[in-house]
Amino acid sequence: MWQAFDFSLESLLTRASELLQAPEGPINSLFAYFSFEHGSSWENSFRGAMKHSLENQIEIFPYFRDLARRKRFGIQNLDADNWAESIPWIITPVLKEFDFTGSVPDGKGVFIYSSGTSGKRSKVVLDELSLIRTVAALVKVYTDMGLADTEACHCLFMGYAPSAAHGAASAGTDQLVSLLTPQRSKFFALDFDANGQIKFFKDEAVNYLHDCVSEGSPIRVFGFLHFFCKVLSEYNKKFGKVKFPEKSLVLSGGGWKEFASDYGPSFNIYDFFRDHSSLAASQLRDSYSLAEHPILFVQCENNRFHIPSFSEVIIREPRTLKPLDFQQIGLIQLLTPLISSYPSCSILTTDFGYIERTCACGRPGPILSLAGRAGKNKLANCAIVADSYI
Amino acid sequence: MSYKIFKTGHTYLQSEPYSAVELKKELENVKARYFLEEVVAPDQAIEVLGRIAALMESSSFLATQMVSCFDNAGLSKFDQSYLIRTLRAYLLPSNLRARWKRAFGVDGNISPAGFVAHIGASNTILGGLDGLIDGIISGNFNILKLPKPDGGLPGLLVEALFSVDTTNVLKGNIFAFWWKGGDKSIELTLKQYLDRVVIWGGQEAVLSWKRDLAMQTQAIIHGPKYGVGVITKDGLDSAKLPELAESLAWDISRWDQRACNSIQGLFVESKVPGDQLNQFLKILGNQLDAMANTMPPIRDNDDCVEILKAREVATAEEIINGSLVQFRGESWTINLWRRWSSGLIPSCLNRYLHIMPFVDLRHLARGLYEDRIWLQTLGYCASPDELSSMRACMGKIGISRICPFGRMSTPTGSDPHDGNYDLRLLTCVMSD
Repeated sequence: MWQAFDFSLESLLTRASELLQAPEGPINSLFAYFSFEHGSSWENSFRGAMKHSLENQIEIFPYFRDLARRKRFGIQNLDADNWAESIPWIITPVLKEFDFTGSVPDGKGVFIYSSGTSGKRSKVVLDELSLIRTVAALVKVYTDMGLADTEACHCLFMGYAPSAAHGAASAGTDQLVSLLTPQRSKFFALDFDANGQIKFFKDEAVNYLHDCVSEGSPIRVFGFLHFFCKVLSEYNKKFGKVKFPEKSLVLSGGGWKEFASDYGPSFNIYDFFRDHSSLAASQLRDSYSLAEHPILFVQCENNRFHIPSFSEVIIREPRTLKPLDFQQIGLIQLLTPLISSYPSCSILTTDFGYIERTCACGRPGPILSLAGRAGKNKLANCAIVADSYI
Repeated sequence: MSYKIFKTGHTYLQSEPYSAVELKKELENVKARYFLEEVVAPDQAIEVLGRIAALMESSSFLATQMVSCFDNAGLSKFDQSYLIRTLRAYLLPSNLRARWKRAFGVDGNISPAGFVAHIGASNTILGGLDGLIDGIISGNFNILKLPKPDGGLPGLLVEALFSVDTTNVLKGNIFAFWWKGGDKSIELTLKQYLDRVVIWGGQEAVLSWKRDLAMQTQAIIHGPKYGVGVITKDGLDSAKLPELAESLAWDISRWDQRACNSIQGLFVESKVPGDQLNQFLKILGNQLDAMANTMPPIRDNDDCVEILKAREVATAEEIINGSLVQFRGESWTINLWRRWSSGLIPSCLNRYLHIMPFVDLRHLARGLYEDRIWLQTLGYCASPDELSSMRACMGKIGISRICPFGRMSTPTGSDPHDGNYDLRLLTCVMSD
């Protein structure tokens, strides 16, 4: 039986910082690299880390072991040139249907849940070490992206309050990211109302935003863009265009493309922000991750998702599953060695995307672009589920 | 984007979708003339519809236009040409008269119900067309929700009807336009006028349409269906395995399982020895491969992802719980379950079949009882002695059509649908 991992977000950040200061061991060595480094030295380290992780997961998880056997995968495959492509993957619906939390020896851990598709949610457990590594990765990525700051800011969460989150991965991530900068004030837009029902407090969010604008300190917006768009629209009706103080940022967790049809076929989120606020496109830094692969891909000022050095991405053709080249659209496969408490090394998502070699921002490493969700029964994400509260 | 409106025998093109205000005005106009006009006799309607069948035979232009409606519909070329031939045969006067006779028996005092809306399923290209034909020959005023703004296949056939109806027999009784499903202003307006609404769709569509119906409105529902197959030991013992496999492969491959009569689950009597079943499955696999040559599946990326997801979840089930064995070909998948007690296991379609064991027909019927709302067609391989009890058992759980394998996907045009004739439900029989 897993014991709840009793921690505060602040203590997690402290332990993550300790790991970053002294990254030892084949997996932690990845933290010594710049967050977006993908050169040959990094590749050797990543390969070594994946080897360590795979050996562990093949031993611990009978399902993964059997899968590897069926796909004729052995650790020796990692010595070949296209080693990453040979690693067997687990598709995300398997993690929604089956609970792997019983496979790992009991210990302390935290359960995180995906938003679910048709009522099914992935439930994964992060043991203590996996959780600290995940948080360390988050800290490193945001810091190396220049998004950690010393100036205190107001925090507007367009997502769940802690008590209303029910383990939703997005809520924890938002709060952790918010702690990278001192907080002057905070407000959660999705919370319990007086009747104990989760409600979207839109009017209150609008008023809070107005107070923050008046006060003048930078504002950081976290959570779902869909809700933020509604707040911006309402704000404009009441107070006019939002004049964000300098150094304000939107650090969102996706959740607007699914609602693009609400806004019309020609909707462009950047144009929307420009029309409703003083925010430039470079101030909107969306992120991409999954509960099954909780390593954040964060946008740069050119709004491109940089692949962090804790992950590798392979794009696969949906019919043949053949690995595709740069700029070819296919299913996104995500690899990471950071997590040990569920079979997480290699996850095949049902998202379409493509990789490009470089970004105009000048940071090293490839970038990932998303090209929609795959499958007839489109996956719901947190934003769609939360939309039911509007 | 342009929006086609079909009414009073003309096709109109608008730059905006038809509005609730326009709809109300049109329905009031129809209501005003409702009592002034004679009811169109079935024979007259059938004769005009027959002209469309003749036009489909003679006009390569119409055939080409119909084929273009199948773009991106996921139908193989084989299924496309079969659908066109089936539609033509459906519209033949001989078929429509047979349909009328089977529905009503002898002629009687039969009156139309009045205003009938036909709401087609969004994932089919027919879009409620077969219901519309019933609505036409029964003399009703028919409102058809088009599957897309340009009319799609139903729009094409309505236009064809307008062109052949040179004596204005039916033109005034058909009104077709597109609206976004769930548009409350349109749907609430419409619901005030309806005597019948024929709904083809999923649970959400059905429940949405049943809500707020007026007192006088009856809903005729054709929801999603799951075709089942049954193989008994006696049936398998006396079957010629290659022929049986070919028939079953045909039923699995037709329409890539998208039709309401498509088989998704096959129940095999548990008395059948494992090696006999395995031998049959090997032959079935070969036949499915052969079908892929005759009827190559048309799959887009989303279809491939659905198959991938289903296969991997089943593989995980196989590894973790040992509850099934999976067989795969390039174009097909079979999950052979070791145990089954109750319930349907949905298939992702695209030639993906679940095979479950059953003890006897009563066990099978009990196990499927809670899911009877989804049942319609049953294909069988059984001995003649077993058929009577099969009909009795399966009739209790909503099976409305039983046939040998090879015919599941090809009901005749005069067969009832979901156990009844919409013709009866779209009319009133007046007694003396």
